[in-house]
Amino acid sequence: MRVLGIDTSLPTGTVGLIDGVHILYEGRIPIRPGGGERIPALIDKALQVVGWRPEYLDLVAVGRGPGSYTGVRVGLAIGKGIAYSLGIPMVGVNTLLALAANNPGWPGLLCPVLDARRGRVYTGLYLRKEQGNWVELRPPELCLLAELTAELKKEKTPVLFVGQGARLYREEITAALGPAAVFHGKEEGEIDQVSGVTVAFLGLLRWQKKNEDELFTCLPLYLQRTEAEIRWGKGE
Amino acid sequence: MLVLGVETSCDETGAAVVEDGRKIRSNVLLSQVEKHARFGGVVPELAARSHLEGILYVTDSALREAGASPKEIGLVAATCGPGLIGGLLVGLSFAKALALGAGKPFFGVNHLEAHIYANFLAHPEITTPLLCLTVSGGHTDLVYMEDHGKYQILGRTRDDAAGEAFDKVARVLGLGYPGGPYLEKAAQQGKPGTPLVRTDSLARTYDFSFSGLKTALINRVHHYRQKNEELPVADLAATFQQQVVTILLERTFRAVDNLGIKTVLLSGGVAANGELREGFAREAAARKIRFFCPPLELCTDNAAMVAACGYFRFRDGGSSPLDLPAFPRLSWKLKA
Ligand SMILES: [Zn+2]
Repeated sequence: MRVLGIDTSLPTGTVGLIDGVHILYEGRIPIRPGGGERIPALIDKALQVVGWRPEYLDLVAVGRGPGSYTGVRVGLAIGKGIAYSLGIPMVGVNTLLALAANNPGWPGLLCPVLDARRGRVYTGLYLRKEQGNWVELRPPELCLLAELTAELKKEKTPVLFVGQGARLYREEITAALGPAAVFHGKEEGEIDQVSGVTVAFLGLLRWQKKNEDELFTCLPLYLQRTEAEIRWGKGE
Repeated sequence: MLVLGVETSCDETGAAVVEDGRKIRSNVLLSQVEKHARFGGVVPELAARSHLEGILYVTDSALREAGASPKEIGLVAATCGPGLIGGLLVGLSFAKALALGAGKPFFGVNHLEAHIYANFLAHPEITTPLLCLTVSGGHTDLVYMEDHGKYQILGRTRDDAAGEAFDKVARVLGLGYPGGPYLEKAAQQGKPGTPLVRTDSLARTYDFSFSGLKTALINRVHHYRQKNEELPVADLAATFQQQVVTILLERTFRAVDNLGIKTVLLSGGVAANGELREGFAREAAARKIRFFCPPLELCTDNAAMVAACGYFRFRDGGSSPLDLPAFPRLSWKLKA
C-alpha cells in the first residue's frame, strides 16, 4: 500500500511517503509559531519528487496528538481534505507512539514526554514487540510530572525517555528514578521530532489490524477541555 | 465552472457549491451559536475544535446536495482571513489539501470581500462601482469597490464591532445571546431618548467606535441598579439601537455623498436589523440611488459568498499557492 504520513503536532511538521515497507520520501518544515497550513505545499512537493499523482495514494495517516492543539487540528484537516477528495481511507496515529517508535533499537520500556506547562506533561508508556508492533502500557494522558515518575518507579526496569519534555525535565526525572532513567545522548532536536515515515508505517499497521476508516471520526487527542469550559465547570 | 467554497473564520462552519460565481447549487452551514451561548461570546478554542469536528460533514453535504464529486469541482476557495486564527487554519488547510487531492486550483479568499459578494449572489443586476457596509459581530467595515479585485477600505471600527456591542449590551440588559435579535425585539417595545453622555470623536473620519456608547449605556444601567429602580430595558435597548444605527447611517451616507455613489450595499449579520435596513432604504431613496441587501441567510457568514468571490478573483487573477498562510488580521487588499 502507498501511504502518506503527516504530523503537525510538534514544532517540526513532517510528511512521509511509503510504499509497503519501502521509504520513498521524508520532509520536514518548522511550523511553530504557525505555518502548519503550508504542509499541503510540502505534500505536493513530496508527490512530485517521488513521481506520484495524488491518485496513487491508498491511505492517509495523520498524527492526532497530543501536542499543539492548533498544530494537531491543521494536520487532521489536511489529512481529511486529501483523503476525502481521493476517496481513500484515513487513520489517526498517536503522536506519542510515533515519538517512541523512532527508537527501534531500544528493547525496553519507552516513555515519550511532552511539556504541557504548569508542571504537567503529556505522556504514555510503550514496549516494542516483533515486526514493528507496539504494546501500549499506558495510554496517552495529561498528568503531573511527579505522578508520572512515581508510577514509573514501580516498573523497576530501565525506561528510555524521549521527546522535548524528556530533555526539559531530565534533571527531575533522573532525581526521581536514578539510573533506571535513560536518555539519548543525541543533539537537541533529533529525539524530539516525529517522522512522517514513522507515522505512515504506524498508520499502515493500524489499517491492516483494524481495517477501519477513521476519515469522519478521527479527532485530536486534546486530553482536556477548553479553558473556558473548565472555568464554566467550576462555576466561575 | 463549479466552485467549492469553505468558510471557518468565526463561529459558522460552512461549505457551498456555486456555479459561475452566481448560482448557488448548495449552501450548507453548521452554526456553533449554541455552543458559545453560555459564554456570552465566541470562545476561539471551542470554535476551532468545532470547525474541525464539522468541516468534513458540511463539505460532504454541500457536494452531495449539489450533485457534484470533488473531481467535478473546478476551483476550491476558502477564507484565509481575517478572522479567528484557529478556525481559519482548519478551513484553509482542509481546502488546500482537498484541492491538491482533486488536482484542482485553490484560491484564498478575503472574508471582507466575500461579504460584498453575498449581494452579487442575491442580486445579479448589481454593477460596480459601489459602496458596501459590512456589519456583524466581527466587522464594521465601510468598503468602496471600484471593480472586482479593486477595493478601498474607507472606515472600520476602532474597538467593538457593531454586532459585538449589541451582544455585550444585550448581556448587560439580561437579554439573550446572540444579542442582536433580542435587542431589536426589546427595542420594539421601548422608546429611544434615554440621555447617554458620549462624544463622537471620530466624526470627521469614516471610522467607527462603539465602546464609548456601550460604556455610557452600562453606566446608565449601574445608575438604575444603585438606586434600586426598575431597569427600563426596552427603552435602553431602543436608545442603544437607535444610536448605533445613526452612526452607521451617518458614516455610510456621508461617504455616498462625498464620493457620488450610485449603488450602496449592506451586508453582515447586523444587516438583519430592521431599523438599519429601513434607514438604508430611506436614505438611498432620498438620494434616488440603488440599495441592495442580501437575504438573511447570505448576510451572516456563509460559504456561498466565499465561493462567489473566489470565482471572480480566480477568473481575473489565477490561483493562490498551496503554501498560502492564514491572515488573522488581513485587511485590504489581498494579493492573489
Ligand atoms: Zn463575516
